[in-house]
Amino acid sequence: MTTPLDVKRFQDIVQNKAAIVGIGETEYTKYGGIARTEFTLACEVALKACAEAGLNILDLDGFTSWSDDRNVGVDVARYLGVPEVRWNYMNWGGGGGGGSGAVYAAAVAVATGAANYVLAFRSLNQGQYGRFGLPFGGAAGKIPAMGGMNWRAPYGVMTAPDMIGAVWGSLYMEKYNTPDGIWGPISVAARKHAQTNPRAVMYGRPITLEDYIKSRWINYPMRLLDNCLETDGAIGLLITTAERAKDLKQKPALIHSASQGSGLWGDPAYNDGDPVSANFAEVAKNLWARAGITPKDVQVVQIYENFTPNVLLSMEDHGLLPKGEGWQVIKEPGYLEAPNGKLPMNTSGGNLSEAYVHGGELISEATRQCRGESTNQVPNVKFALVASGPGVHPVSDLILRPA
Amino acid sequence: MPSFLWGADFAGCAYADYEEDWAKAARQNKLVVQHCTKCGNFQHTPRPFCGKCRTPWKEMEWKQVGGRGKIKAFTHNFRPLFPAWQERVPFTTVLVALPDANNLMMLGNLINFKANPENPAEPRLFGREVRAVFEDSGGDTTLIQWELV
Repeated sequence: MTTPLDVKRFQDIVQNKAAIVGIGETEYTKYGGIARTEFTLACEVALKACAEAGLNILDLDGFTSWSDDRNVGVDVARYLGVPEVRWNYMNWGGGGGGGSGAVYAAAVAVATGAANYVLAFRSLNQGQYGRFGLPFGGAAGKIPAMGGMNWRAPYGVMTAPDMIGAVWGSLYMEKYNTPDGIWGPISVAARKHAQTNPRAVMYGRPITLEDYIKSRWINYPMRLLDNCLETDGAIGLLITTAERAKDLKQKPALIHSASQGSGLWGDPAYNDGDPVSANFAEVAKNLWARAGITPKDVQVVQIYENFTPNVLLSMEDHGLLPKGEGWQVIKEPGYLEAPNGKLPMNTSGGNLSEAYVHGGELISEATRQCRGESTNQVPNVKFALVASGPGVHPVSDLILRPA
Repeated sequence: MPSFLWGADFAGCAYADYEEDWAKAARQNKLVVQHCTKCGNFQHTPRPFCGKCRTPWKEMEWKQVGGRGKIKAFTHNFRPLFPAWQERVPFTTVLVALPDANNLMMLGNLINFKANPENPAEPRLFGREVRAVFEDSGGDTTLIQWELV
């Protein structure tokens, strides 16, 4: 049996001892829209995050990332002339599941004195490297056994919409006897939030529930508007101790709780763990235990959206919606929308409507909600939740709070 | 019916050492599931150790199961990811629960079936009984497919 966690030890050493103190972002564009290299974008967000925080770039001494980012932290340091790196960590696994975990790794580093100023970053230029997640391309030859592709690819199940979104959407529909199209309010809320956010790729392009229902089939039960965007851009989040944060320019967003990992998950025939979930059962349990609060205490949530069916499962796994009944609850008009909805979600537009930076933009948005600077500010934010990466492994979570 | 590949000829699947016996049984038109004789655990897809008691796969058995199951999930893929798929879409993928193996699921295509692009919600395939079809797909690979009973 897994041994019990020492929750108090986390609280003593990490809780509210570290903070996000700077945000660096490039412009966000549809994929193919940025001519600079992906590596250049990573360097740019390091510079921007430090500048926003009021920190000298030469004081930066750590890097974390996720989604197997091609741009290595110590190389970013080398090209910027940063003289000494003390923390250089990758959270394994493709997609967005590692985003909150990369911030968590940075928080642990600064809280324990391993480093002083750590950048959690993700850079993605699909215009340079090709679309993320397309199957290995075109060559004849046997389908490899690696990663379970030999159990999926011969059936035409090769990309994330097929492997993650559509299958779990269908499993939810079967278990709870629902129709398709139940995920529309998630898509509509994200797009509504993008209309006040000039950074968003979908700024100026609102949609209605009717537009959602009329959008074309990609893989039943998923429509086009159930899918995240494909964009280019980079983001960096600067993390330091709560004490050092007092000397910097921005209002810090304290890291109140964090959790990362996985349950049994990832079988190509979906035979691990509870197949009708988003793999957050264990990770969310530990998040809430360390936080010492309940879902009711959170005013605003950023829930990673690769695909809307997995968003619903993620919210249910976190106890934000009742199991199997979330699809009924979110039908209430405006339920997920800022500023006055009961559960304002993805208030910058998120992966569905702001930009697909593998959820880094969800963490910057939670930070802005804590600062009081969101373009869809929710009143009186005491705690802001980020859930990174439903349906993948690992997954990770953060709870931020204003200082 | 040839299996899916991206426009090239299907060259078959590679299998890990602990998957080879499963693939061999499929070539002999047998549907088998990895079964631990020490603790009774069924597992699919195959793994190098029993996930319950860590017995190495060579000490586990391949239990033949009946070729019937029930649909737990279905998806209709409308997206021609590769030009060669233009004639294939929409195609249907199913997760089939096997009552003879603790309701473990297998992934495959539902063959001899075409979804209605105007109303893919019907028929609602959940719970429908299906039978395994052994598809000799070339490249020394036999795939398990499914058709409605």
